[in-house]
Amino acid sequence: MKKCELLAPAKDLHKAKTAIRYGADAVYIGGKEYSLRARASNFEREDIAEAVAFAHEHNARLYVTVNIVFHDEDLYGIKEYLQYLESIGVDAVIIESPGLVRIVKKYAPKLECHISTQLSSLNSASADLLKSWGADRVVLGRELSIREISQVAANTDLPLEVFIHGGMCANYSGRCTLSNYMTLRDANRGGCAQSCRWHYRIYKDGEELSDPEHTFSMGSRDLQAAAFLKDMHRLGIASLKIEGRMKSDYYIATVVRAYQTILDKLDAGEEIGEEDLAFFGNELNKAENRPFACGFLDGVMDESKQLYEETANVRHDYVGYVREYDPYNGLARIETRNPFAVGDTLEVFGPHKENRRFVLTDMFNEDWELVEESHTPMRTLWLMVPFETEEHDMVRLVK
Amino acid sequence: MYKIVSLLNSGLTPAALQGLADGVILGSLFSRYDDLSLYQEARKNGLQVYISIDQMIYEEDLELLRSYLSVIKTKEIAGVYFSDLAVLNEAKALGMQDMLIYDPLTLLTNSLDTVFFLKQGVQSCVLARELTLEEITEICKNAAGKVDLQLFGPLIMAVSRRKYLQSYFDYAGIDEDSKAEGGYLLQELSRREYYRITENEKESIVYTKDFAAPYKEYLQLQPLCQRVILCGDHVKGELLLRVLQDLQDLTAENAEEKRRRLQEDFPQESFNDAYLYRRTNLRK
Repeated sequence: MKKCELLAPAKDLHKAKTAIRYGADAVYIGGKEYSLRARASNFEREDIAEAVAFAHEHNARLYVTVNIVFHDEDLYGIKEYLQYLESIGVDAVIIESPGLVRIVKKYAPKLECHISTQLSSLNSASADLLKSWGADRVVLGRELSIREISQVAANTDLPLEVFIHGGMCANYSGRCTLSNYMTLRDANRGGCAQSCRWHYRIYKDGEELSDPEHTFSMGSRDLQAAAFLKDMHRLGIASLKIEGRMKSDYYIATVVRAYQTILDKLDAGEEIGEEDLAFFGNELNKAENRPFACGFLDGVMDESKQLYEETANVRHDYVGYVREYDPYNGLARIETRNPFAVGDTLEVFGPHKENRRFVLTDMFNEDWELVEESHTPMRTLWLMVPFETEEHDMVRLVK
Repeated sequence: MYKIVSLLNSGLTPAALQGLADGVILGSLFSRYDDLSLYQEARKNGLQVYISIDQMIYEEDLELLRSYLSVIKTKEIAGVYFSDLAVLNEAKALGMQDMLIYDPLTLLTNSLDTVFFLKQGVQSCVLARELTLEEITEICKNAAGKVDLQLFGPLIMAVSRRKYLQSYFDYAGIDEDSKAEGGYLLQELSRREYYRITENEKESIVYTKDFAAPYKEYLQLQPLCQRVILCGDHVKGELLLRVLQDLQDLTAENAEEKRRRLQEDFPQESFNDAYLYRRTNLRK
């Protein structure tokens, strides 16, 4: 039995399947109703049902976020929605509202209740209270160091979930109204304008103190906790969570695969050394440009964890998704994403396999004409690949 | 309905509130206000004393929290404002949950949760500030009036464990005291308005610089709730006292005039109606 669940986000059905294929033990999604990412969700009710079926076929679990901080007007229909989720076999709902836990337990009792990080649970006393109200798991606040997580874990028997990767709220999650005040967009109802990432001048007694070239921001570097997985594994943290319901399938595949490989090693009793961490760190860096830090996990909170410079957060390394492989001709049919050309060094990666590189010598379009370059996304091309690939593998550019 | 005032950095002591307010919110070991000597002064001036345990609680704080609650239980404290559920858990163990008033800043936005917490035995709940007049009215009715409202003063916009100021000063090579009393002002690059930012050992807090002063709506809401809170954090004592004086003889007829005069007499300040007419349900 696995010691820690790896929990991945998914914006749509394809990404949910990708996460599971690449090693996620569980996937969390938001429907079009009651979710902080409702605006981004492509999950109609029938898609949720298909995602549940796919997850269960692959021994994975599926959770649905019902995590907005409800206003009275948002609560209409919630009972029926919860009962629908229960009827299609959803394993758990992720919720912020303690009042809603009672509703779930009464009307949809087969659903587990996982308490959202929006509640900023940081100690065993609040975890115990939540348990007494019917919670089955609590997502700890991202403000805790690994030492503090171990203290909480030692003092409560409520299963704990901890964020290990992705974007960080700069402020206590759920207790921030920067967006509400500045833009009338409610961060707690899916409207966060990320005002914490904006830039500000600082004044004292009417004089500007801030450096005009390097202004103040509350923005945080993204979290990357590979170095702390060993501790979390030892502590028996129930679930390790990746943030990013807005992210691409490439991001999800890359990040899930890297963390699951580390967890597999830990499950097998193998040591994770500095070399391994460097390798996995490099893998994780391939998913995104935004600089990483380990958040609060090392107990240090200084300028090295903050993000003051503007950074692009989209990488263009991902060139295609493998749809099929023709072993007789050594050709992989891919659906293109970002530009690449003959002569480029490409790397194929996939679920449960090693990365393999090759130099692209030939590629063809659907009419079997030779093509030198690809600049158009979502195009079908055949690539000459000197080793076997499979459907759902991904191809990226090596720079 | 009672008027309760917090006084942090206003330059006022409880004695100044005599006859103007019913109670004062003082601090605790976990709070942004640390001076418990004010307790005696408040009692002497006939004010009810409320304690605020308004910080997030970490595991290593729990023992201190337990002993602190044990002491509070024996004092003449009218209520304990709290934001972390650990306080409720520990208070339940001590059988003193009826002293508690739940104030999670942003999270009490609906009747379901408000009633839920009242059923846990707390004496009242402070509703989120980002609610409209209509929403507040509805929740107050559903909660049978066991609700506190912060209607006056600056509003807390964000609380973080990060040391925003110290980190930035270190990054930019600025030699400043990040914990300076009163904090600093922030201005987003494309906006004219200012926000106040303060920092202490435990947290950074961002406040609105604007001062909520919905005089007319106060008259409408005060019969529906248990207490109205005036937040005096980083507010000039003079302004706080003026608002309290205005509330003494406020009527439907003079509310607008008093509010107009307040702005005239404090031209450096900017006043608003909080979120009472500002729905924040826009999506991207």
